[in-house]
Amino acid sequence: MSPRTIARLVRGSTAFNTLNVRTVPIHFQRSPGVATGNDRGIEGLEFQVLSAGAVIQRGRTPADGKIDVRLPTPQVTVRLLVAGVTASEYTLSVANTLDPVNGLSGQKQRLRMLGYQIGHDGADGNGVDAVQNFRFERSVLDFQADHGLFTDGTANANTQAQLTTQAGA
Amino acid sequence: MSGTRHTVAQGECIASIAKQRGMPWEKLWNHPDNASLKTLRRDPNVLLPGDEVFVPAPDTKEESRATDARHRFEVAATTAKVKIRVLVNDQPRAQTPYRLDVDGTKSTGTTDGGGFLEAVIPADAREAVLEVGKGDDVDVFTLALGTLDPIDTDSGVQGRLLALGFDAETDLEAGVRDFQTKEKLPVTGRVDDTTRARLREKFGQ
Repeated sequence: MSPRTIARLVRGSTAFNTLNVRTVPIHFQRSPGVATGNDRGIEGLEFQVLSAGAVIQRGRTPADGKIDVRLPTPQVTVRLLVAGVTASEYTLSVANTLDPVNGLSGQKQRLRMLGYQIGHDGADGNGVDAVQNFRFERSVLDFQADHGLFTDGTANANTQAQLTTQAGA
Repeated sequence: MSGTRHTVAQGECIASIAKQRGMPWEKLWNHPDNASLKTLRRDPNVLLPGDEVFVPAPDTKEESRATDARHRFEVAATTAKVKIRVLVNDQPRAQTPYRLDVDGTKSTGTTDGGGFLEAVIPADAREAVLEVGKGDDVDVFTLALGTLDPIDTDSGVQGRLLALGFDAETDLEAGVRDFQTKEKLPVTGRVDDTTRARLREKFGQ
């Protein structure tokens, strides 16, 4: 990632340079299907946020598992650590890259974010494609069961609304 | 009047060229032979690589002093400044400690109520690292000084959008659309005069 470019100012100039940092709230929650009541947040997980390979933010998740990830550059990596060792990594982008929730790919993206096992089909190998398959149906069933919805395995309007709420977008 | 023409390279500004030639920046900027450049760019802080600056020959000054004695001559140091406004989600990071490292020279301070910080830097400084905050809550910015292009160029628009937190790295038009959406301007993806004026206002120049 290239550095931010700013202007040197001559003495007496009234101009300035603005640097704006965006944050994105991310909730870390326990695996779906685990009976934890409403308290799904993962507390005390060590995390690091990296931009261009350098750590720009570090800390531990609070009780609700929610952290505000800083995005000084359009893309950052969030790294979760267990006992000081990297357990998983996520790439976050400023742009809203989620597909609409009324389409299969958008539903699969949200299920994957929320930790449901949708497999590894599709061009990117992350399971996000527009093909109806049994893993998708099972994930929808799990999701509906987790949220007390009518369990029919189809992403109906109620399910789509709950997906939007849970995924945050 | 004698002098030379200097072609601006990326990273140069009036202050850095003036420092290199050992004269105050006003002498370059206000020189009659640079009048058209002044009209074109309006702003001495931002030049485009390829711009031509007329550099007048240095003034010669004669001083008579006795031999076999020590004399002291003082030269005004050529410096520039940086003024930066730090925001988080468009809100100022006010009253926050910062550390600024300009080409290895470190300084510290606290941002004011509007999230502003100002520091004097060598006119030819190229790189800076700015850390704002303390403890676990620190923003680190790597800055390239003097490489901002004029706002009427695509690269100048891109640099300003990136600094404001818009994703214009690979797709400038998408970044412009994001900016227009946020500013409630007509979303065209094109940099028209209204968009440019708003960008200048939001970025600070």
